[in-house]
Amino acid sequence: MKIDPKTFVKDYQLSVCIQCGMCTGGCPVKFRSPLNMRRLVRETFFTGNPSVLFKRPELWACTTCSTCSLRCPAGVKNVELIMGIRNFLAEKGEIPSTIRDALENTLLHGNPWGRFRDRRADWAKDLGVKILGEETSNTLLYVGCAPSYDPRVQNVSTALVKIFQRAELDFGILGKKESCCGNEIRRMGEQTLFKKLAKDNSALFKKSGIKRIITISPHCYNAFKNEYPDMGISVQHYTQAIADLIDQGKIKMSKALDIPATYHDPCFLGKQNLIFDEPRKILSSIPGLNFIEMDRSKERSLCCEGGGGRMWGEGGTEGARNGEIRIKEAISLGGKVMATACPFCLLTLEDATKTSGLTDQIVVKDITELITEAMEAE
Amino acid sequence: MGKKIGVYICHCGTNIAGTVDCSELGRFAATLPEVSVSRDYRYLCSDPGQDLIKKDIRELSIDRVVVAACSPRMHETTFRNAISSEGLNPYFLNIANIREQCSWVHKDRERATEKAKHIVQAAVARVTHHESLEARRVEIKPSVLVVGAGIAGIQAALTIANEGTKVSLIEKAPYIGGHMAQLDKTFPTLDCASCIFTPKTVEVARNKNIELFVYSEVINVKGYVGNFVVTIKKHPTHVDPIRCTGCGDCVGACLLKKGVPSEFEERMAMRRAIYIPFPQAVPLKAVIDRESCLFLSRGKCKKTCVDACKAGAIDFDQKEEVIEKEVGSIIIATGYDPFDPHLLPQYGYGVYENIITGLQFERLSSPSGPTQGEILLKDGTVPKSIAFLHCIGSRDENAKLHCSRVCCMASMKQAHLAKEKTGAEIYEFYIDINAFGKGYQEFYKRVREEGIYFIRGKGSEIFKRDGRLVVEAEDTLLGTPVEIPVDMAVLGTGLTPHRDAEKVAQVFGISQSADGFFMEAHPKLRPVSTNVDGIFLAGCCQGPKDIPDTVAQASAAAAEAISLVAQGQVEVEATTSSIDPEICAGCKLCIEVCPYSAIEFLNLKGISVVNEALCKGCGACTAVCPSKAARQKHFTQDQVLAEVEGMIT
Amino acid sequence: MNFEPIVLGFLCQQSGDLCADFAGMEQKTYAPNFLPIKLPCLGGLDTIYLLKAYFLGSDGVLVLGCPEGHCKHKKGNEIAQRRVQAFQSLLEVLGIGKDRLDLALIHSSEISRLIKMIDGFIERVAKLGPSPLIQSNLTSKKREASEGLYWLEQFKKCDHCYQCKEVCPICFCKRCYIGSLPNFAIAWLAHVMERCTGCGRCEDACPQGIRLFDIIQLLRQKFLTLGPLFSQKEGKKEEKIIQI
Repeated sequence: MKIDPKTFVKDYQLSVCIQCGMCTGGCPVKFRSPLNMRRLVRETFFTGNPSVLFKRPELWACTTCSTCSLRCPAGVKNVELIMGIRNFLAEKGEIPSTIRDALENTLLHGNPWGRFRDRRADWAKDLGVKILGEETSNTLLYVGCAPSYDPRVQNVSTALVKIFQRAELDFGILGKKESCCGNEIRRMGEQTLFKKLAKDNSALFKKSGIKRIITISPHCYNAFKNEYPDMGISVQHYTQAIADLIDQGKIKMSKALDIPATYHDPCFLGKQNLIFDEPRKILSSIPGLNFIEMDRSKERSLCCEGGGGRMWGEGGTEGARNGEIRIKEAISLGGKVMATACPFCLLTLEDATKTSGLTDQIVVKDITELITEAMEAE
Repeated sequence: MGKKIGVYICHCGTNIAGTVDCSELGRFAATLPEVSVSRDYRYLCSDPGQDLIKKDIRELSIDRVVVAACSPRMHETTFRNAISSEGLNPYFLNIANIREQCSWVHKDRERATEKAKHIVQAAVARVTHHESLEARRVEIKPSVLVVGAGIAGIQAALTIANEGTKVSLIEKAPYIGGHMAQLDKTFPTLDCASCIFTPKTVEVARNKNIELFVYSEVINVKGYVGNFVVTIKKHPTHVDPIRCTGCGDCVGACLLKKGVPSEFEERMAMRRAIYIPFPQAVPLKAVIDRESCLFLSRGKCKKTCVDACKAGAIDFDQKEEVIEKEVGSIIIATGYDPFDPHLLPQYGYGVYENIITGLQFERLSSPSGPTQGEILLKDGTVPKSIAFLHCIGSRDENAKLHCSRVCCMASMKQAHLAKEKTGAEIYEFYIDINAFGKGYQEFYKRVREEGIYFIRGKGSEIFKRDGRLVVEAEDTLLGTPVEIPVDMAVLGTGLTPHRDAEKVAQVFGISQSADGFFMEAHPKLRPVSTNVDGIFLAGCCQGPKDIPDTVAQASAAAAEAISLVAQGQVEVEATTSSIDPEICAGCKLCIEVCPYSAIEFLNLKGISVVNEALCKGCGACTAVCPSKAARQKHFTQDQVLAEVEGMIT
Repeated sequence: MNFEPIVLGFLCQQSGDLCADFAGMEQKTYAPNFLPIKLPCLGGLDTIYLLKAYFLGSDGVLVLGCPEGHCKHKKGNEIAQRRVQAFQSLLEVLGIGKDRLDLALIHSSEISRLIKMIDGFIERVAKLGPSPLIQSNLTSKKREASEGLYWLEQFKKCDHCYQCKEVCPICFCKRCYIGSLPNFAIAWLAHVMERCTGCGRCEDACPQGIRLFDIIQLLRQKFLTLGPLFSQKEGKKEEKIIQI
């Protein structure tokens, strides 16, 4: 589909902007890059030649956390404007090379890192997991690209499988047939590729006869729940599924962890999809876990800068990343563990512990890892 | 007998003529059956326009008139008066609405004219079946009910009482004064609110024409203009108001030492279960709050308050009272609720200390408040920097769309007071400065001269860093994002409709506008009337406004109420129903559907009969009657069927 | 040339008509197919008005009144709702289509919703095409879907002999007002359908053999969900039975 800058004003409601500055005021990268959402909206509205405006590296600094869109009092669609601009640039090929590579890799290999499709389910080969197509199930565990290929995040996938198996939850994975959900692809500007992924994935899901999808990443959750055409399949993030299992008494955690832990609300789970209670419910049921609420939590959680294609590009940002601010905040509250529920947050926050030299003071873990630590060994 | 119908098409300047071809419409109307004359004219409601019609009645013996013009809500009365001045019964008039429901809502000239033809044809067909009717006149009871005793209700009540008419003034809280009683100084003159206000509240208590009901609510309203019957429920305060001297000994003795958050102090201080609202309260009587009183809610208390009361005023057996009052008109002045900032979690309200709302700041600044007028942080120290955030909950797609009008001035006034009292660095985060009134721009300049920083950028978030509150925003004039550490943040919360507004609207039968405030009859020309005759609005319940505008509107509503009383009688539409005893078979379906119990069954004759004094002309009986014995005047079956036929063919 | 339907509107004075006036004052635009008629309250919406509208050529009728709990005359909107639902069943069985009649309850301040309702309804009716009731020769392409129009074809046989009315036990009107409508059988059916006792005499009496009893049974099934029309229960009160 052709995205035409001339229709940006109408498509993204730019004319209702009152220039109040709430968008720039709440932007997580406002001090790290020259990106100024408010000014961008006004310039796009008034310019006769939008394409000149858009040749700015800072447009790639946006993490699509959506704080601007969610808070805008006038109803301007800020984040969609950024995605529209990126789409326009992508069609002309004027995008950073790392982003371009990520997009091409997804087209060719089904994941932005360009790893081989055949190896997508290697992490699960000894775990006794059902592969849909060979066997059937009502529930699909949609793994995602990072949890399939990244060694650090593969721990999360393994932990989650263990939890589900112990809880005797029937599920299957797609294995090699799984392709990228497309959430980041759309945010990096490739509307056409996203539509193709959505179409192919929806058809695949429907064909496998599943009634429910559980995702590991909140990004995949967001894509299936909000941006895919209606598939008639219910979509859950794993924290919702596990919270249900805890309610049903199917998760037995008997080892006390004795550790103070904070929780970082991922943007795509928390402020965008309003899932705040389930992760907290899980953490408070883990024995011996002393839960400390961070100051900037829930709707005010500070974006880790992992979304919006930032895993594949810096967008010209300078200085220390937000992840470091989060780690320091957690440490100052006495936390020894920073829990999270998103693969990108996991990676960026862990990275931050390393770049700030604080690996001995705090460790970053996914909620699934904490649960399995508290479960008895079989 | 053939009728002589006169059809008059109004151009209404270009309002109708701009879209509908009035001359063609006039020519078309002339071809309709029984139409004697058809004219079109630029402004029919003007004197020469009305004279056209009158002349035709005189000279051409016109006996039915169709006026194709604006909505009957505008000029039905005007034209009815015109034709009755020529001796023609006013109900022989029919108005065809070709403006609000035709020329103003359709753009295609040809199709709008086509539709106008249908409407006129329908009106002509209907008017041939019109009958001569007499409007009923009803007495207006010489008393007024004022609901709500804030500044609006008080002003209205005093104006009416001083004119000599009796007023029943109802207030839900145990004291009168509303939100104005909570304010410290008012803008732009910095008058002390209590000082200008207390004389009025005292006068209310003293005025012989005002009967004051505090701690009371209106639970039911029946009747119509001139003859409302309202049911008032007086909640028990468990304190005898005649014996209580307001000494306050009971308060100190109350065993609920922990207390509950005080509503008057906007939860900045605690109060006991038995309490006196504030030192200048009118009436100055103690009140027991049922829900927090240990004895009333749990049955367990030594009742030390009773022992402490030397006047023996406490009465745990006091019951609620239900009182009925008959009044001629009603003024609704139920006020507003401040926006609840919990709904916008990015500001950390309720999470961090020292983030307060505008009204909470007023309590801090007020000499009778919890800090005796000092601006202090929760830990008792004086803040060195304060931020005021504008537009919290107003002009916001995620909260309320409307502008709350007064908060810019309120924030600036509070900034001035804070600067005066603490000398702190003050920041005002704003989008626009709404300083519209008399002396307001001058006040804005004064505040700027005092060195208060105005940052044009709406506060986006408040978080804590290194133990200090930080306000995040963008200085849009400089184009740079800012994070400003402050000790205290005051959220300029907007004015929203009262949380009970929907219930009040239902009880009184009035409508709410899209923003939830009560709807006025016409936004420009009838700002204090509602769609219910005899019910008027005053103050913030109709929309946010400052004190001068509130007082002005209250006086206007009082004037409307007094004018009704002065007229003594009012005309009520003659559209009542009657039942033809020859046709009625006594099936009683009409009795079942009548909402006003206006139909009774005569056992001896076996038929139903309508009590026209009670009938409100809703038409339910005529629609349900299987044999059409029931018939509503001015909406008979023949009339409506003729209209349907004229409209479609 | 697109088909432009004729849509009649019944608006109650407190909400529908008031809201339409407000829409005019704000200079909003909607389709000119909408022809408004004002009633003091929806409780006064007579079935015969609906019949007349459809018989004269209305392709659709939209009724607009006050929302739940807000009717100035207490329950006029509820009464109208029931009446509209009963009439919709009749329209459905006759194959005219129940989508040609709709009732919407709106606040007088809900101007944008009013516009949406009107435009949406007109669009819907336009898609349905001209009302089969007026296409008296049934020359439209709906002929093929003849099962839907079976009952309509039955009623076309009526020749106004009034025998059904004469034998009906509950037809007691001293002055029959529905004789003026083009098709007596349909009008009479709409008049008695909610009160029918199911005796079946009408069908026996009809010289044209219109299956009146069968269609009334069909309709009565649908009316079961509406609840009773009378609040009185059937049968004699216990204490009134005289023991012999």
